[in-house]
Amino acid sequence: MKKKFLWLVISWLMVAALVLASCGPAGQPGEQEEEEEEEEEEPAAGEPQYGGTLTMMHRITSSEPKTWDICDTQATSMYWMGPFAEKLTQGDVLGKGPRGTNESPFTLIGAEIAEGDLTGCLAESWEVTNDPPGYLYHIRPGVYWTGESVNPGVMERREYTAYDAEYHFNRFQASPVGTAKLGPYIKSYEALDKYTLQVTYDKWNCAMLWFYSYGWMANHQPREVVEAGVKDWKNQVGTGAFILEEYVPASQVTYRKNPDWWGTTTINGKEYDDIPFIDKLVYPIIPDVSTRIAALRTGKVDWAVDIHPKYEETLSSTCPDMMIEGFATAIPLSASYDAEYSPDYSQELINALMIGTDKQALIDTVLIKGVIGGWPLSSALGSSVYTQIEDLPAELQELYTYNPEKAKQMIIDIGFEGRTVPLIYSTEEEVPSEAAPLIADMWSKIGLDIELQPIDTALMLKYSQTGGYVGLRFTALAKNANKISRSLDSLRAVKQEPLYYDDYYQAEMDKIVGERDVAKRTAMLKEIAIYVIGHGGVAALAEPFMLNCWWPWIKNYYGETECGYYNYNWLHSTLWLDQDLKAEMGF
Amino acid sequence: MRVYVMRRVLLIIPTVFLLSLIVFFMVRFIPGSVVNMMLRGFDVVTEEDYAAVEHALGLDVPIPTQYGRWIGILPGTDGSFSGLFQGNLGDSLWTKTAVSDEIIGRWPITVELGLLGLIIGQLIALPTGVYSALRQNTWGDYVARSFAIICLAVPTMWLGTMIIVFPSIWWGYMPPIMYIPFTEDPIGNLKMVIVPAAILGMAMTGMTMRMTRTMMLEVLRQDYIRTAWAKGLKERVVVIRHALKNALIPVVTIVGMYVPTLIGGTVILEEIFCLPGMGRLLVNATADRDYPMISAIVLVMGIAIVFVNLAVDLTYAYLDPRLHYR
Repeated sequence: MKKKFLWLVISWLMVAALVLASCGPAGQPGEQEEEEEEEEEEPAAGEPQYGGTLTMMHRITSSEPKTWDICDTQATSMYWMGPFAEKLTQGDVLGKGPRGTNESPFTLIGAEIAEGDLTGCLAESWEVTNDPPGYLYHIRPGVYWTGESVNPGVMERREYTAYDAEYHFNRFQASPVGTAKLGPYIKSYEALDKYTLQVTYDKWNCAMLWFYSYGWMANHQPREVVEAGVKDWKNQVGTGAFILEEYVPASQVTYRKNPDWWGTTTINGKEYDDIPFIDKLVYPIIPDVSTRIAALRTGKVDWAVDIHPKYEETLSSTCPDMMIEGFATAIPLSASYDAEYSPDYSQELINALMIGTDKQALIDTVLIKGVIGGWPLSSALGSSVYTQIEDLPAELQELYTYNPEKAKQMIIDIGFEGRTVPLIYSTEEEVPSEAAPLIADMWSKIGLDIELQPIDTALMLKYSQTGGYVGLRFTALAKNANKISRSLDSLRAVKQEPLYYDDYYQAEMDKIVGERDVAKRTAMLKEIAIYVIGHGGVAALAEPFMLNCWWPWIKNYYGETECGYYNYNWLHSTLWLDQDLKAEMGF
Repeated sequence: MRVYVMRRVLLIIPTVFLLSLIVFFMVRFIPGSVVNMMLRGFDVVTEEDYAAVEHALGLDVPIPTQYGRWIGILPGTDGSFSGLFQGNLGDSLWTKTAVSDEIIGRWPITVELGLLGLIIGQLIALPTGVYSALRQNTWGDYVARSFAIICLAVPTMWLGTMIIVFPSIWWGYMPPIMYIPFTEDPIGNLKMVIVPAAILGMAMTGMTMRMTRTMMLEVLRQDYIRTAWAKGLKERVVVIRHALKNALIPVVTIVGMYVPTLIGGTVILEEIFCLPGMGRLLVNATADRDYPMISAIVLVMGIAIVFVNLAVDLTYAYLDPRLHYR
């Protein structure tokens, strides 16, 4: 009896020990490694420190990489490939950003970087050619494929050349989607010699530069990786600042520093050629938003982009030292219709919806941070291309003023009073899901009977891509603002969009995409954007802002959200971690 | 008994066949296809774009043909037979990796979470239920029953979120967010899993505790138990050797009902605590319309549940020797 009692006590003590052990502070991968380090001279104050692991939640941190093959054209996967797979060009965040001339804050997520804001990456320089029409790229010498992959023997370390670019582009353009997107415009990609690539256009379209030069399908993969099996993450080899070290499905992706990377940076007048400064980069995969906020709050994550502004108050109060900045998402909350399936819907209905929406209330209660307007071009793009509401023609300014009585009359005038209008939104989009009931209430007050129809992303994409719905599609996805010429160009090619049937718009966009002079093109875009507001068939209600949050131990970082489409290259490779500060702050 | 077990095992075949038919066809009728997901990010999608991707995925053939290829009775695009009959669960439409590899990678996490949850749940529920029955209408009984009600009423999703949010605010603490395999670091792994397992266990505790209590009360009123008391046996012997076994039969049924949840229904806890388990795999596959993955996961889960039900039925025979299966 006593023996059994003793065993019972021992087993309860073991359980209690286990529970207590699990309540202790958890270690991070890598923290348990103890290395003997030689005593090194402490760097001077402000001088970069080498070492450490940067853990960052980028925009697609809630879902995992869907593919490791660029030709599968999954934009979201390019975030995961960005650290090791480079592009021909990228945004000049060092020169044109806040640490340089500050001409562009690089705080517009996913924006089409204007051609003038580009800098070379795999290409050192480039020029427009007229005969043949296209671009001539001068490939940067001294860039190497690391040859390091998890699966051994995929490829040897070797120099990246124009022949690699030629191979990549031809492979991409042969893919089903590449054929469709680039095929009508790009005639050929040809390596003239080891360091020269000629891209020849069949038909000039300024948006093509985005596709192959710095957009989300522009990351290069070598022939050896393709032949070994490009869809296997263990075969991936790149030229970038980092090397893909480990992918734990549904958990994290880890990259280690590429000690052989070609990049250099200058900080306080001193040039550093051994960059990146950090040893490792980790992208965790965290699907739940509460967990993401907790991870940021507890310092498990050093930097997070795309945090909803509703968390700003709690983060500010619990983490007063955290840096928090808002930025325009360039993805306005909007309602649109399928011109083929809802032929009785019209611009007049859209105008009534806009006038009948209290956009400020929408911002104050749902978006928390945002601006009225922001369509078809983002408010953050600057006055060279974006027209402020107060500078719009009077009849368009009216669309942004809340006047429910006028809206009600407009609804009566077009015969929509009392009519049931489905409002379709995706349950996987946080902002439209939260805003839909509020919007439905506002529009019911102007005489419509709004029927909320929540659906999932796949069906929303189907409606977006091929139409087939009756009612209003309420979303913050695509068909939107931020990609200047590309998106405005695409609006004329989609049969569901009212602008498809607008001859004036079609003709103007033909001129715009064929215009090679950047300044002229920008001015034309500004004009056509004003036209689109009044004819585009989109009730753009507000442009949401999101938050970029980072801890102060991240140094040499100035709040930029990207340096090109889904690209953090220069940001990751030039920042450094003040690990002493991190320890002082208790993390 | 042997014949019974063989018969049950053989019955799995038509069950699995029916299950495969249902799940294969059902997922293909969900609006919005994998092609739409793959063409995400393209503002303009023409019929040619759609057809090209559909063809590349092998989805441009009739659904019955796709089913035939999947189970291995029709040749694939390369002319070879490679389906369920050949032991191949198919490849993911997205990653092109074998579905079986994905399942094998995720299954241990779900099993670990489920098993730990089951163990924790039963470790709490059974003694509490027995105690509550033995000390009926005492303060201990009231506390135990209230605890059971709380366990039943509190949603796991809410509890999980609270456990993540409040410790991060009060103490700057949260469980690890990056998965540590048990084989690499058992303590680190347990640190990740113990909290969600405890929450899962609590979810089962309420029902199991109440059923245990009810059955114990019924059994304790039986004549043979009165005889045992009259013989002067100790309470522990009366409860464990005589009463508990009979009281456990309905409890085993309840535990058996929870097992499907443990196998595939822990997705919410997996998402909150960043555990890369089967639940998340299935949910993500459904959102991405990864048809082979969805079909295979549901099929594997279905087979597992069938076997678990068989095990539960056999447990009855162990608990009550009067039961004979023919």
